[in-house]
Amino acid sequence: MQHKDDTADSKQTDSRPLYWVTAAAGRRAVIALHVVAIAAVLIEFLFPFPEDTHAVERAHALDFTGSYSVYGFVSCVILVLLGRILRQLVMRGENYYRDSDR
Amino acid sequence: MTADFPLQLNFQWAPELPPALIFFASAALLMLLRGEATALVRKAVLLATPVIGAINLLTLETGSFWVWSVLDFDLVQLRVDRLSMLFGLLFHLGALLGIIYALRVRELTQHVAALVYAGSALGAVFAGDLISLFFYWEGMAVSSALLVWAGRTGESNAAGLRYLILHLLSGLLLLAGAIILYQNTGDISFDYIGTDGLAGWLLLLAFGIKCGFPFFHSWITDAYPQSTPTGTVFLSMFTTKVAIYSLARGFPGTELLIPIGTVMALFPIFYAVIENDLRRVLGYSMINQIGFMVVGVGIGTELALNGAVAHAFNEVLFKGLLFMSMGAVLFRVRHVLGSDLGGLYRSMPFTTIFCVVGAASISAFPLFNGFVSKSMIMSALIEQGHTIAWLGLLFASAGVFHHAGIKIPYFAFFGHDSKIRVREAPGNMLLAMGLAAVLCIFVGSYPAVLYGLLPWQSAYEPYTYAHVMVQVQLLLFSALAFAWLKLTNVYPPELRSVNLDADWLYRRLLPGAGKIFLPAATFMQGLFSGAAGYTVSRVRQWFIEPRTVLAAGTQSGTAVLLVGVLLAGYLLFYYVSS
Repeated sequence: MQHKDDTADSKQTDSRPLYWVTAAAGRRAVIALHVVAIAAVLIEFLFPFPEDTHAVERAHALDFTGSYSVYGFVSCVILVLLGRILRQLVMRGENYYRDSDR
Repeated sequence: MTADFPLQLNFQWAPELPPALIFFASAALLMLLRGEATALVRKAVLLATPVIGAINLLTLETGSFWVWSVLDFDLVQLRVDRLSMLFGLLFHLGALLGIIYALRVRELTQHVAALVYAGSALGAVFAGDLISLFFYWEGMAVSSALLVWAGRTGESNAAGLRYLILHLLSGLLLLAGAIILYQNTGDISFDYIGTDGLAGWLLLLAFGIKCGFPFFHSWITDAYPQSTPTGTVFLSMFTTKVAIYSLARGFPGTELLIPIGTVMALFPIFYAVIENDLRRVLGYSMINQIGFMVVGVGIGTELALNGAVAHAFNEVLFKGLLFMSMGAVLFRVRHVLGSDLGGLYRSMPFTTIFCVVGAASISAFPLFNGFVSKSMIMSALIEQGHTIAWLGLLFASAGVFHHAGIKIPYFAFFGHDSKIRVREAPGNMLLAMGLAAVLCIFVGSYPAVLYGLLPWQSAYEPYTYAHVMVQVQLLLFSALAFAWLKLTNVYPPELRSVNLDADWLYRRLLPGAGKIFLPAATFMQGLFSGAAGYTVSRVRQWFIEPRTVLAAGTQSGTAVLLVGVLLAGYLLFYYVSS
């Protein structure tokens, strides 16, 4: 049992967006993300990892400049595409189990 | 394992109690403090429990104490070494955060269940034998099921029952394994077990169910979203971590755990992408993170084992923080459906910030705690030449950022404005989230503090130029992929739905099979009982009823004669054959 004060409160508060979370700020954030991501690859290109770098960063499978960028990007695209296929296979109505569980 | 735990308090008068005892005593005391008048005292008892417990913990000396002789068994209630002490410290910390978060809950049952649950988890990690472990194992199962049932809905009742059945099954396997081990070796101490015999396999399966091995994982995503906002926070902290502790104690270096853990790290991320209930997304994320730990235990080197337990430590903090932030949303909005949320940063700015800290931590951003522990397991993998598993876990690392790092904060607090306007989370919830967030950043920024507490000796430096750069690249380009997929509407929208998972096997397939087989079984039973009845009646007719050949007019003299003939025949046969 929850206290009366603890229950959900639908009281209207200020609906104005904070200055740093607007549609324009969102667009600027996406542009900034591109800039920073490309900069991260350029830094590796200009300052390659030292030869004595720990094995985890120099694994044979990913031993080329920007390899982790490619892997991160491709992984997420594959993840989402396979997720869409999985949804086709496993998605059911939200009451699918409800009747049998009661 | 190196010698003493580095954090020690030296009090002459310290009673050195088993940590579980303090929590159980506190739970018993709490049950006496009913009514409004004692509300403040209850809160004081709750808050004092993990604090007093932690002080007691830090006075413990290395060794085995509180040995109870029951029948022929020595039941060790307090086995103190660096592994049990690390988990002991973690559980006290987790209990303190959970108690602060749940301080405003007025339902006494939830508090008592939470204390018994935390106490049982502590009992399990300090148990020096398998019989004691079994009792604490079952204590965890029952008390945590009470937390699921505290949801007080039809779904939570059913999910709690399924949860309890699976966990009791795990306990049964543990007991069976312990009995067989005792028969084989005459020893029930809980140390390295391995998979050489049946006992080892049964115990591995028992621990695996609690860990959420594939096909036994559904209790996490089924039950955790059904508990109360506060109950789920406790649930996320103890059970799976006790299982990781048990694996690290009993099965270090069991190579089978590497593929199992890799599968655990991989498959949930696909489900998490399409799941709408954000607490269930965190459930999938939990299986994913446990997968990393299971791999670490499977590798079995000192670096890997340290990585596994360090990641368990960090996961309690960042997953607890994420569950707390979603619990705060559930508390105010009454649901956590991604499809119906969005724009909550306006109403709950502090919760938003804490959620983002949790998201950055689980995604292993530099300066956050996930960064300093996950990479230990990855390094150990590549050092031991497990390149395919390493590539799999790297894929899972990118994936976890996608669903836990971006999806959770984005769909709850940003994204489209759902027009939901609520108050910020209560002060105690904010305090608990704030403490967890500070700890996430502190451990991520000063990893030497955590590394100094780890059980095994292995040098590891997370903040190298290369490690920071590759992690930043991986995460930035994952974020870039999310942005592109979202802008091009390729990213699957949040939909109110149910996604079939392994629990379908026992929620639909088995009951469905029962419905098909029950009529068939009834028919077969009828057929057999009919045939049997006919046969019995014929036999009765033949032997007993008066008009049949053998029964009709039979006198006792005839029967004696018949027996005599049979005996004579038997004797004749005996002499001929010998």
